[in-house]
Parts: sequence; C-alpha cells; structure tokens
Amino acid sequence: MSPRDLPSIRQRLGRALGSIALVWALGMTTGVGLLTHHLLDDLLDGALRESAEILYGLVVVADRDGGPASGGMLPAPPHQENLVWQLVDLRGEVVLRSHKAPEARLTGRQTEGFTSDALGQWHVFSLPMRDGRNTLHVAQREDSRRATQWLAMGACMGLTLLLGLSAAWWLNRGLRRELQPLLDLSNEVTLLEPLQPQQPGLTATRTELQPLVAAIDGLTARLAQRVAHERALAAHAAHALRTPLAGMDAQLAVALKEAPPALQPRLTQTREAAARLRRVVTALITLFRSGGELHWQQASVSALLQRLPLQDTVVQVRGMDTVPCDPDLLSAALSNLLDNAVRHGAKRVDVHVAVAQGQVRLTLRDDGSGIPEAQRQTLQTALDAQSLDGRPALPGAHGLGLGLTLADMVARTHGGRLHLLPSEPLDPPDPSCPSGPTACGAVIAMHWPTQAMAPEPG
Amino acid sequence: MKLLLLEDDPILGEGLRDFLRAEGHTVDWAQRLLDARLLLSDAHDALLVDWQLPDGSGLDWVRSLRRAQDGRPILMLTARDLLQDRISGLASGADDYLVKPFEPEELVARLHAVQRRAVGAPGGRKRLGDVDIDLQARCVWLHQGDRPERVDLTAREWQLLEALVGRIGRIVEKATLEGLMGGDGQAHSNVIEVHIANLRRKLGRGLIETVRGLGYRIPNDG
Repeated sequence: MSPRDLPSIRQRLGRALGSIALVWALGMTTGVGLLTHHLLDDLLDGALRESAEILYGLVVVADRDGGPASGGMLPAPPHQENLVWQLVDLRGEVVLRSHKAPEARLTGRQTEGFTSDALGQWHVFSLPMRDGRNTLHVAQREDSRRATQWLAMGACMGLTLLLGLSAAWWLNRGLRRELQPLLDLSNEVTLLEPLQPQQPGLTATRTELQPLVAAIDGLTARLAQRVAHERALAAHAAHALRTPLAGMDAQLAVALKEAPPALQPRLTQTREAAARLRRVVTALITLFRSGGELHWQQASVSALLQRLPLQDTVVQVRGMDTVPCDPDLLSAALSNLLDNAVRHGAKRVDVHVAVAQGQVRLTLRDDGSGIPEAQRQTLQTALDAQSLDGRPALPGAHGLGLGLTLADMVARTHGGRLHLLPSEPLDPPDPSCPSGPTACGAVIAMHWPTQAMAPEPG
Repeated sequence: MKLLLLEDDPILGEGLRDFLRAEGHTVDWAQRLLDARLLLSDAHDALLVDWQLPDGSGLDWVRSLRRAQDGRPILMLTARDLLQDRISGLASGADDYLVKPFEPEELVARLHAVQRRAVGAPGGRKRLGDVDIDLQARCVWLHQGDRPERVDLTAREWQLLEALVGRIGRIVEKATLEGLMGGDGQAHSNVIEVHIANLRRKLGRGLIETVRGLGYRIPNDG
C-alpha cells in the first residue's frame, strides 16, 4: 500500500469530529427550535389569558357603572393594537369591543378556552362572564404570533448552529496543533544520522510521543552498533584478504620471472585469475563497507578508468566525463564490467557518458563475443529480480556472474539500475571484431538519478 | 638500490623480496618492527613499510624516522585504503602510499618515482657535469663531443652509481657500498675499488671523489 493510500489520522479524526459537531449542531438546533416554539406558544397563550382576566374585571366594573351601549367601542388613543377583545352576548352579538377588534364576533365559543384561526386570522381566548349572559374574547393575530415565534426560533437555531460550527472549527484546529509534534518528530527522524554520535537526540514534546522517541532512539542505537560491527568486520576482512592477495600476486610475479618458458603461459593465466580475484574482492569490500551509504562527488569517469588495470584493452570515453557518483563504488562496478568484457574477448571498450533528464547514463560497448539474445533476456530478468536484502535471485540467475551482480548493486545503491542492451556496432565499426565489424559485443548501460546527489553546503 | 622491506606476512614479504631482487635491488626483509630497527643502516636507499605489524605500528616508526631527520624515501604498504588512512600515512612522512593488493611491478615503478624525486631528478634524468644519468631507463650518457655518447655499465657499476647519486653530496662509506652489493666486509673492499675505478674510467675522473679513510662522494655540483 503506498503512503497515499494509507488512511490519515488527521483526516479521520477531523472527519469524525466534524461529523459529531455537525450532528450536535443540527440536533441542538432542532431541539432548541421546537422548545422555543413550544415555550413561546405557552407564553403568548398565558399573556392572552392574563389579558382576558384583567379585562374581565374591567368589564364587570364598567357594567356595574351602566357601561356603554350595546355594539359600542371603548375609547382609545390612536395606537397599533396587537391585542383585541370583544364582549359577546348569548345571541352572538358583539356588545363591546376594542377599537381594532372586528365588528363580527371572533368565535361562537361560550366556554373558557382557546380557539385557533378564528375568522381565519385570530387566536382567541374565551372567558364567560359571571352573569352568564356575555362571553369575553381576547385575541391576537395568528400571523403576529407566528412571526414572533419564528424570529425567536430562528435566532436560537442560528446561534446554536454557529456555536456547533465554531466548535467543529476549533476542534479541527486543535487537532492540527496536537498532531504537529508528530510531524516535527518525523522531520527530525528524516534528518537523523544514526552513525553520528555528536548529533542531538530526538525530542518528545508530548507524553504520548515519549515511547515512540524511546523506540526510535533504541533502533538507531542498535543500527549504529550493527554498522560499527560490520565496519570493523569489513576492516578486518580487508586486511585479512588484501595481504594474501598481494602476496599471491608477488609470488606469481617472481615465479613468472624464474619459470621455464613452458610454464610461463600457465603462470600467466594463474596471475590473470589472481588479478581478477583481486578486483572482485576489492569491489566486494568497497561495496560491503559502503553499506549503501554513498559518498557523492563529481567524479571524472576517465580518471576512474585510468586507475584501473586495463592491460591490453583500449578504453575510450565519449560524451560527458564528470558525473555525480560515489567514485569508489563506480570504480568497483567499472572494474568488474571491464573485467567481464576482457574475459569475453574484448580488445576495445567504448564508454559513453551522458546526463539527460536528471539521469546519468553510462554505456559500455565492447568488441567481444557479446551476450546471445536469449541469454541476455534471461540475465536481465535475473538482474531485475535481484534483491539487495540478501534474498536469492530468480532461478534463471545461474548465468549471472558476480561482475554483473556487483555492477547492478552499485547502480541500485545509486538509485538506478543496470541494463543489458541488444548488441550494437561500435562507432566507428571495428573490422577486427570477432563477430564482424557491424554487429559486435555486449552493450551494458548503468543509469542513476542525478538528483540523488545531496546539494553541497554553501 | 638497497631496500629495507618491513612486511610481516611471509608470503607477501618473500614474494616482494624475491621480485625486487630480480629487478636488481638489494633487499633486507624484516617481519617485525624490532628486526627492522636493528637492520636499518645508512646503506638503505629506501624503506618499504607495512602499517600493521605484530609488535607495533609501521606508521609510528615512519613518524619517528622523520622526526630524526631521516630523509630517505619511504613507501607505506598497507591494506588500509580509507581516505583518512591514506592521509594519515602520507602525513606521517611517507613519500607514497600503496594499498594492498598491488602488483609488484607498480611497487617498483613507484619506488623509482620516489627515488627520482629524492635525488632531485623528478623527470628521471640527472645531469652531473658531462654525465647525464637516466635513472628511469637505467642508462648513462657522456657529453664530450658534438653528440652525447651512451656509456654501457655493468649491473654492479650501475648499482654503485645509483647508490652514490642517491646520496649526492654526502660521503658514502665503503662498508655501505659493500652492504649494498650484498658483501660481507673486508673480502670485497677491493671489488668496490675496482668498480669505482671502472666508473671513473668510463664517466671521467672528476665525477666520484675519494674521501680518504671514509669512503666516496659525488659532489653536489657534479
């Protein structure tokens, strides 16, 4: 699973908190809205009832004092009347009313209680008078009541929703802030160099990160110990292998001087084999000691080739010369590739170096016997299947020599690969080529990215 | 050249000793630092020193030789190939640093190179008056007419000349020259005199001075 496919803690927590905040906001809004509506309805009804009860007393007093004539209307200053009332007799005629009250009776009800949508627009509370002849109706306009209710509900719901969304934003912000130390720790781990003892340790800025920091510290300590152990082993192996190899070559060189002519070819071959063993061992020690840790430099390919014992092979460098690489490792790879070429009869090797589209491409073409096409594909498959973690390659890797394997490992350590390409003629064609001047030798290309080279300070 | 080889590995040491002898050098081989200290004499023209030895560090020995103003060419032979090791080796005073495994031919080539630098003939040629010595090609030319004339020297004569050129301006004792030629003292004193006489006959009487009772010298001005 690639990092992009993995679930994000921040996104998941953010979504969960956002959903919770939204549901809470909607639930609270609905609840508050309904409650407000209900309470306000009760409040308005209570006000209507109390108004009726106050008017009841006033009507009784007015009636005892003779009161206005039937169908009359109480005097009042000009005003906006939100509350109207009527005094209706048993026949259903309006005896007395407030000046904004309709002339027609609001409702035929003669018992105490509420009536909605009276005359299509009034909410009425009816209260029978104690003489049993009249009924007092006190009313509010339905639309006025609804407007008040909606206003109160809207305000409450809006405020609740705003509060809920604010809570979601605040939680998300808090979540980001609390996850930031994890990102900071990741950045610290990225810059961590376990093999540099002077480097300051990781810092845990949250209690929850302490176990993680302790685990990483433990891991780096184990890694450093293991690398130190391997380096010590490599140094020991280098000494243990290099000296006998030098001794073998020195003895063979003396033997070549002292031996009779009949023995010279055999000794020469033995010395060549020893030289090859020397190159392979040197490359292996270099590769093992590097441990995948590259020392990037701008290195001259021709200078690297000059350091290699090429004997009778003519090596020409074309194209660019300076490339970013680990010179020791590239030298080890070139040494083994050239050794392969010589063993397959090459007398001339063209090395073409190019840098394009962020890739270094180093191609070796030789005039040796080359690699048969079927075997080339098998070897390429085996190279592709090769792993750097010690797992065996594919069964088809039987023909994969140590030289190609080493060169591929060097290319991979640089972040690139080794490719066995179809044979191509040398340019210019080589008439002495064993398989003819136009189709000749092996073509092996190494490529690796230039951007893998760390920028130099300053 | 008379060389002191300090190498503890018997196979490598023996191989190098025999190869260098086959190349015409005289080689004293020590396998321990203690033996090398005892063997070292003024007769040695150059030292080949391994770093890691059973009884100490070759590097420290090189450092102590340089502190004692010993200016002879020294080559470090070692399996330590890290950049820091190479820097340490050269910083200790070694003139060259050869990482094992190496081919003995390369060792001989480097030995000649440091020797040429040591006698002030980096290009391989040393002009001493009328005598032109090519240390690399091992041949001598005499300028006495319009055209220089090549002078043929025997192996012994060349050995003596090389030893004297390598210590130019200094007195070289007879015993040192005897040691250089693998001699064991009095019995060969006359041989040295005979070879010196031959060199004077071939290259002119003024080239080699006799310092009575001490030895021979090629003066700085030739």
